[in-house]
Amino acid sequence: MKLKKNNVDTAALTEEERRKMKRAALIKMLIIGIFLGVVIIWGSIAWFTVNRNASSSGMQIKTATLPFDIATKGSSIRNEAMINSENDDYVTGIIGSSHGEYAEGTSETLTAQSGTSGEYFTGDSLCLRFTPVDDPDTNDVNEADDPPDIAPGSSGKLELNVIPKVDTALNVKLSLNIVAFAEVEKKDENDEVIYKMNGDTYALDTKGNKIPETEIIEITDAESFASAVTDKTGNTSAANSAAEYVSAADYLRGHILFFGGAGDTTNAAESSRYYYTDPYTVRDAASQIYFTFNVPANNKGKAVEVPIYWMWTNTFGQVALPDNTSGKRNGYPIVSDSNTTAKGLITTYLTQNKASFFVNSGNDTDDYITAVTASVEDADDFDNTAFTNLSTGYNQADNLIGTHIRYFMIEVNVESA
Amino acid sequence: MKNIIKKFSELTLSKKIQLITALVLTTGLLIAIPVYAWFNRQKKAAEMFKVEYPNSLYINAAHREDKCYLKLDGININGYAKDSITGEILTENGEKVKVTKYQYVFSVSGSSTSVFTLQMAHTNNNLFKYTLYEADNYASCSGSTVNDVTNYTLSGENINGAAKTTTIPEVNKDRIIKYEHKANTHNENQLQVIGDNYVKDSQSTVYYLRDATAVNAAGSGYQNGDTSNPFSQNSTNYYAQTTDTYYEKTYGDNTNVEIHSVPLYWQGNISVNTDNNKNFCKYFVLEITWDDDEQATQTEKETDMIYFAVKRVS
Repeated sequence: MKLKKNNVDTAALTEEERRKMKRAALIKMLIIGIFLGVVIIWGSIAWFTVNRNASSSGMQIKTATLPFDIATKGSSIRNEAMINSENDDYVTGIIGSSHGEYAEGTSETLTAQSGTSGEYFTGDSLCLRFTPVDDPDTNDVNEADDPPDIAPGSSGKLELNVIPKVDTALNVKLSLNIVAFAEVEKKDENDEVIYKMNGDTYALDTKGNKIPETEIIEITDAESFASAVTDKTGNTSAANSAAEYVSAADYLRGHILFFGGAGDTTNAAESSRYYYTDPYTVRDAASQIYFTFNVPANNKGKAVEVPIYWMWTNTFGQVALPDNTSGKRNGYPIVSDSNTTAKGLITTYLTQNKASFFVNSGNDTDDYITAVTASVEDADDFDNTAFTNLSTGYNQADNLIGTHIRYFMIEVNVESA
Repeated sequence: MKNIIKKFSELTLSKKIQLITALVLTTGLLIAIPVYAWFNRQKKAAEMFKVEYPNSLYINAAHREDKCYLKLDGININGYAKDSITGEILTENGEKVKVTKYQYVFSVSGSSTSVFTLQMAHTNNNLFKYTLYEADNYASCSGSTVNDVTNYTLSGENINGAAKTTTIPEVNKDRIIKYEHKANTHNENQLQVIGDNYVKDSQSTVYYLRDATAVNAAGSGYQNGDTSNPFSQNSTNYYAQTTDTYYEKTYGDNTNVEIHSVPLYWQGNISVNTDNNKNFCKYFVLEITWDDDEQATQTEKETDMIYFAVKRVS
């Protein structure tokens, strides 16, 4: 790169003056080179820094950091081999690249908002944890020995905490996403199932049955799912019914309900028992349930619990009926019969999500929902036809979910509101 | 603006390149940092759950008809026996024969199951004996008499689609039960099984051949009571033991329970074969019999309740 002085006739210069000019040119080049080096180094440091800050004081480029961290507590991670990227058994690729990797996080001792301190795990992309309970008589999903798999009637709590970095109150927006996975059997060219081998013989399970080779595949849309199934398993019948899998995933997203508060399941009067309060029923543009949580002031550095309860309700009657005058409800309602606001939110949710809630959703579904959710004076006034129709639609959707979905992941995104 | 363009075009080529490079690098840096920071303005957490395969088992009347067609009607022990195939009243030496048993057919069906647990619980207000048999379904039955020996040939299709036939001698004729199923009675269960199909809106006749041996033969499978003869009274005149755990689970601390109301519990595992679509349908015959002498002393009508439950094991 030559730096030429404008309007200078180089031929007319003396040897000395030419050397001086060359030296000046070199020095200029050097200065600019150093400057460029500084720019690149600053930019790189900003890029590579894991911290959320990206500031380079020399050039006054700053971005704001999130005013909180998230944490979870509990002694175990559910289905750890599938979700914890730091686990030895973790298989990359089951959780698709669009979700990123979830890790155990860093163990820290923190004080909760209530004052008790304990071990928490913090990080930017965390595996939520739970603490097993030792009660073999219950069907608790947190049971220590042989926890039950998730089925209609299952419910649980997400152990999520927010650690504010400031002393002022702040609002966070939480979005809940449900990702569904299918377990598909591998088949060979003759459309026969491929079984696991133990050397030369078939491997057998505890009941003496052959064990098929399977792949766990995320259910996204019909086309991608079908091609993933064909590529990984060669199972053409599963690939051809990709639309069913996508429907099943849709019904799962509709059936799992989220709540902000625990109810009362131990009341002396059994008819007063209910599971939860404060249902979260609003979906954002990406079809995810979201809600805003207010972190109170003066909690800097403390772990503030964000209560998120989920439930896959067993029967439609528990979801929709305003009371049990009709006698059609078995089990406790998801929200209290006296909580008319919550009941109203559920009714709106049913109407807005009916295509993801009932298999037989159609033109009459809105009328049926109105009939079923209205209070009646007498069991004789109850619209049994509407109820049976919706209940069948709900149960058949549940059956579809159970036969097609093998795993599901609840993702929580936490942002500043 | 015009001045800038004019000055730009006056620069030499190498100077132009330097200027453009410097501008691009600076702009790139200015964009990259805020964009990266924007992507990082959220935190995520997730939990993974495993879903249980549904226990899709159904209990229905014969031929998977709706449960309301499984009618355990009033049992009249002073009635007359009927031929289980033709329905005519049986006569022996010109005299009508008193009925000695009632038989009811019910089905357990579902998919992707190889073993299920069947449970039966019943009260004992009537002094009845409940015997459970497995049964096979056939599409047709014809009797033929050769040299004064009558045999019944049943034929149908098995679960692999192949034909199956069996011949029953006259003496075992009571093992054959004819069942007329009606049209439009499949609202609860629409499963179709190879060799056992139905046409929804039409009526048809099927024949069930009861096994020779009962599932709960000799009291096997009873969980409480005297398991060798659950229908006998034990030393304290209770049919079911009051000291066992099932009594406590059912009644808690109560001791003033009418003895014949205490249910007898039976449970057994049943293995099934599924067809090519992984569906199965297993038939059972519930046979109700009684001890004539004991029953003769009963003067009042009693009501009993029977419960059946199924759960998939694998």
